[in-house]
Amino acid sequence: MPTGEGFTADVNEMEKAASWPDGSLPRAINKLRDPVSTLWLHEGFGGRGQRDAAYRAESTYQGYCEVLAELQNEACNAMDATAEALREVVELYRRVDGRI
Amino acid sequence: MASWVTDDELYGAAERCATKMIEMYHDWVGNPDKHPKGPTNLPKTLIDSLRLDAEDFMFFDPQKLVEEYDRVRNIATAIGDNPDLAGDFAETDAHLVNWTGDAATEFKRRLGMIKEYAELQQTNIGEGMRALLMLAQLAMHARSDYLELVEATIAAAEHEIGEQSKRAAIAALSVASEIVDWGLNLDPKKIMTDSVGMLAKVGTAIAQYEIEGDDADVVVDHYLQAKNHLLDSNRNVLEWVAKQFLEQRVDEAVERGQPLRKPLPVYCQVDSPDFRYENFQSTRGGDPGPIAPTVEEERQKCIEEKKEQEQRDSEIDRRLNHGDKGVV
Repeated sequence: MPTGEGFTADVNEMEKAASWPDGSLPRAINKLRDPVSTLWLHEGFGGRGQRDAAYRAESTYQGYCEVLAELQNEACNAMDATAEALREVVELYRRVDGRI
Repeated sequence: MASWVTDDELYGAAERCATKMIEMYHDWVGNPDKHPKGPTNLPKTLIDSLRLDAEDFMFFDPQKLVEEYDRVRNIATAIGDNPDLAGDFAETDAHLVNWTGDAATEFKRRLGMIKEYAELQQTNIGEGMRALLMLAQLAMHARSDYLELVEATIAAAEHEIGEQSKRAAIAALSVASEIVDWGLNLDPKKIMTDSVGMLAKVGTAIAQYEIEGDDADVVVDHYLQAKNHLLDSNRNVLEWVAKQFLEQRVDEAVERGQPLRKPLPVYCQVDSPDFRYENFQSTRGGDPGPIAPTVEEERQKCIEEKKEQEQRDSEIDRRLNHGDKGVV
């Protein structure tokens, strides 16, 4: 037996990190993705008068939050791709483990 | 807790000021022919005009800014100071600790990047909160400044009409640019932890404006000059926060997110011929020699099975979407 229980145990460990949705990495992704929709929300700063400069400041702030939301979404997508790649390694090694 | 002059207080003060100005002009009001511009409806016009002036200092509702600050602070905390999230990261590290090779290292490196990104994103959000605090300070100072100006104008008007012998018509107006310096010097950690209570702590340098004159027109001119100065000053800060602060922070935030946008190297991907067991091997799995050929063999089988599955899916899709009738 060239691999032994160590290999199987390590694949089990990797699966605990990668499995969806309860693996530790997907859980982290969900925690990072949850606030994204809140960053998109904007309830406005209210107010009256001098609307030109105030409107520019408010809309720039809103745009800033939207960029942050988009970046966070991209980061979550990148993490999803990482987790998916790990799951494929797990799947491959399960097949190998089953043969050996 | 921070407090600020309300809309009603500002409207009320503006109306009192307008009423006092009308008293200064009482001869003209009573005798329109005496007024050089012939004001036939001066009382109503003046009250409406000062109410509109007051609105120029209500450009933001401080309460809305406080609520927005609290909202984004909760987001920042959920990302950057979340023990559960840190626990998930630590657990992931632990689960992968016995895997080595270039691909395993790359996976671990990306986990490190993601952890770092979460901290950077908290910084990014913190900069948005810094902007909010500056805007909230400006909104509060704008209101109190206008109230101060109006009270000084009322005092000057009372002096002019002989109701007040002692001069008290000095407006102490905050210097709005000081708010920018205050905002830029805020400690990032304090931004996250001090809540809006810190808004009450800010004091800015003040400029003294004397609202005086020998007749009503001069008093009103002084009021207008000081008001326009305040408006310009507020507008400058609003534009600075938008153009010089937030737009620059957008560029920084985009830059901070760059590393994560790079795709995984092909040697990390099972469907790539560059994937090798040696690049992702178990430290407890024994000699990799016997395993590597089996990994490659199974990898090839996986790819073949995926291709077959894709062909089946493609055929099903073709039939479902186009049928056998050749409809396009």
